[in-house]
Amino acid sequence: MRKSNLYQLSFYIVAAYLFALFFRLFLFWVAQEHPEFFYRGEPIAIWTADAGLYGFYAKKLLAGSNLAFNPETALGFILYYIAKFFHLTLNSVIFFLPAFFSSLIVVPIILIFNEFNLAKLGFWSALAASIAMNYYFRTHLGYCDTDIFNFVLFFAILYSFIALLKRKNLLFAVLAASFITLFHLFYHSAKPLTFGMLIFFALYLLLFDRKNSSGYLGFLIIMAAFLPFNLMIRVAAIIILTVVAILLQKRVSYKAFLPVFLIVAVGGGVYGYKAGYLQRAFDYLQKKQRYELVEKGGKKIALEATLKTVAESRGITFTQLVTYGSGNMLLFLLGSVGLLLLIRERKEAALLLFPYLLGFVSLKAGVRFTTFMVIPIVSGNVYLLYFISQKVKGKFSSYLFYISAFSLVVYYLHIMQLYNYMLKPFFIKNQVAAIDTYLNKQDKGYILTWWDYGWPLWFYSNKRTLIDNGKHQYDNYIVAKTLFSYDQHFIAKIDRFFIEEFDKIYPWAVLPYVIKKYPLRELFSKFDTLKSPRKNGIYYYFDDRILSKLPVIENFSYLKGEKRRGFIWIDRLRALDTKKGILLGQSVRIDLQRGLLYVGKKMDKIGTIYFSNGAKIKVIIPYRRENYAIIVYKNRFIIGAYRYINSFFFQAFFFNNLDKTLYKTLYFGKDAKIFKLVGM
Amino acid sequence: MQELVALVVLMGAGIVGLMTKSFDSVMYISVGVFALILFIMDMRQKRIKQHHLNTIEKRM
Repeated sequence: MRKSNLYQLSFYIVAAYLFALFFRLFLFWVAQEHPEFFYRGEPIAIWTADAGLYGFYAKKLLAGSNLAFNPETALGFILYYIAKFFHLTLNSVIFFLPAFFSSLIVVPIILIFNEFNLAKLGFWSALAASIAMNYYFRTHLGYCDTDIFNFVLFFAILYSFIALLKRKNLLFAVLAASFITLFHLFYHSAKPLTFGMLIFFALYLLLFDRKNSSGYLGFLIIMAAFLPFNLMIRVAAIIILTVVAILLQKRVSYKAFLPVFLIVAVGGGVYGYKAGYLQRAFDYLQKKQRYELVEKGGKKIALEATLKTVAESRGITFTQLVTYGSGNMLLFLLGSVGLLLLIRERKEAALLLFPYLLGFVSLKAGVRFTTFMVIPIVSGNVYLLYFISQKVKGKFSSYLFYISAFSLVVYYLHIMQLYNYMLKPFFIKNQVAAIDTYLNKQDKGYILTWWDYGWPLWFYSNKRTLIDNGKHQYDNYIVAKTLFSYDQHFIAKIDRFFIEEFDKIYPWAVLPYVIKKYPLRELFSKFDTLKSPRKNGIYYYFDDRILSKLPVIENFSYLKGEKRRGFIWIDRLRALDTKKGILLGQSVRIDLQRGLLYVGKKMDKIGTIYFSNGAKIKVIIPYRRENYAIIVYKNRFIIGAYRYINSFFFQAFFFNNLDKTLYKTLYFGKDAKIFKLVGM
Repeated sequence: MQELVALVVLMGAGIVGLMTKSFDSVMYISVGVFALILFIMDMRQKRIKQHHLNTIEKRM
């Protein structure tokens, strides 16, 4: 294929962008079939917890708060500026922005292929990759996370590297340094990624392109983007280094640059190591099993660690990697072969191995990493189709390529649309309405619930949360202890105490702060003597999302080594036959006539079964005086609880049966439950 | 040109699929439609080429 002219290249980019944007908006039409996805005439904005954080920052900025611009708040600022200057509602901006940003991925893909004189393949790869698998799953409407732009920047940096190597034009090093700087400004965890890319780039130079003096000089310019100085100094360093490099480029042999390159590369490596980029990656791979704290008196206490329980951070299986990265095993294998063929023909394409290999990190560090491999695999598939079509002689050659590439796009569109029907906002209409009504009043207050709800609650309410999606290392214990303790008087006292202490040191973790003053055992045993001022409202928010977390939360309610009182499990209801008296879950079977529970060949005796429709217990079947209770919830879940039926969470969530002198039920609907601590 | 046709067919099929609530079948049918259009385009190209050749022949 010949090199495309600017007109053709622009057509490819604009057309592919419009394609990606067009199909990404389909989720909006799918959402319109669900009135519960709309609130006050607008689509509900938050479809992932992270969107809640950036929406919260934007909301604060719109209300006139002063926030520092940093990688943590950058996306919040973007939302704020767009909402402000285009006079759009914040909800609309949060909901629609991902489509506009993530569709930009087509630009680096087409440009990368253009460097290989294969812009047409770039176009087809861009069509397929822009809506393919995990790239779409992590950037759809409402998924207003930094990922909507991270991958664009990541591949823009790769494009600059490839163009630098191919064209030997140092301005591409400036482009790479600019994208890296932008990436560092936009995404708080960008540095380990860009650092890894640079290591890969250096290795590529040493292994495959040792005589490329522009590569060495470019590397030095790019390194300036990593200097630990402020932005202006980094920009100045990039400009000065570029001028010097351009002057030297033609005059000095690559042999002179090689030692300088090696020294800078090793120095950069040491700097990166000391700056903790590698440590962060290592922490991610080697998840902590426990958190240890030292309390007053020097005694150590160990808590359950969180990262290993975060679904997103948990390692996935190879089959899952294949599915999320490419759709199926055939496309995974063909895409990998295609990528290798592309590298054989165009050696600079070896840089695409970096995102491909990053995909494998997901086996250990969680599904999000598969997103990186979507683009190289799709590109590999398109290249393989092209490669095969070139081998076929005659008029069917081009048919073969076009029709198979078209089919590939259709395949990914098919999966995209299937996925659209599985999606729903973080909170649906009734939940947003309940939060808006009861947790958005002017009083100052804190919400106690599991950390998953943190950032979305920040956005929809005006209350703080004790734990959230970023702060869930130590104080999880307080919430978990609350939910799984029986004595409501004890819970009220302890919650009041911890919240008022937390208010003093917000936003830092309160448990380590408190146990430095009072040993935990002493605190719990003398809880009745605790005296805390009543400055803040204390609220509890729950909905069905928390149910699947219950076994994890129960785990967190104990210190490491502490004896457990019971256990809890949750299963999906598959069938209920009242005539035969059989209840089937995915892994359990219940004999309703005799009150027996079967898990495989094991059998257990049930005390009582409760049937709840979400707002009321409709049926109670008592069998015997056993502490094993089963709750069939909304004909969707079966929850088994041994000795926990009288705990705070069960009494609140399923029975609305909290001590009225201590707690007030603000809202108890099928979709959400909100309580307030009033008696302490 | 083929790219433009592909885009029009894909987007058209997308809208029809959405309206008729049978997105998947319409999308897969669009593969056939795209192949047919490519074939017609190819035939037309050949006819035009033949026409040019005939005209040149006549002139000579």
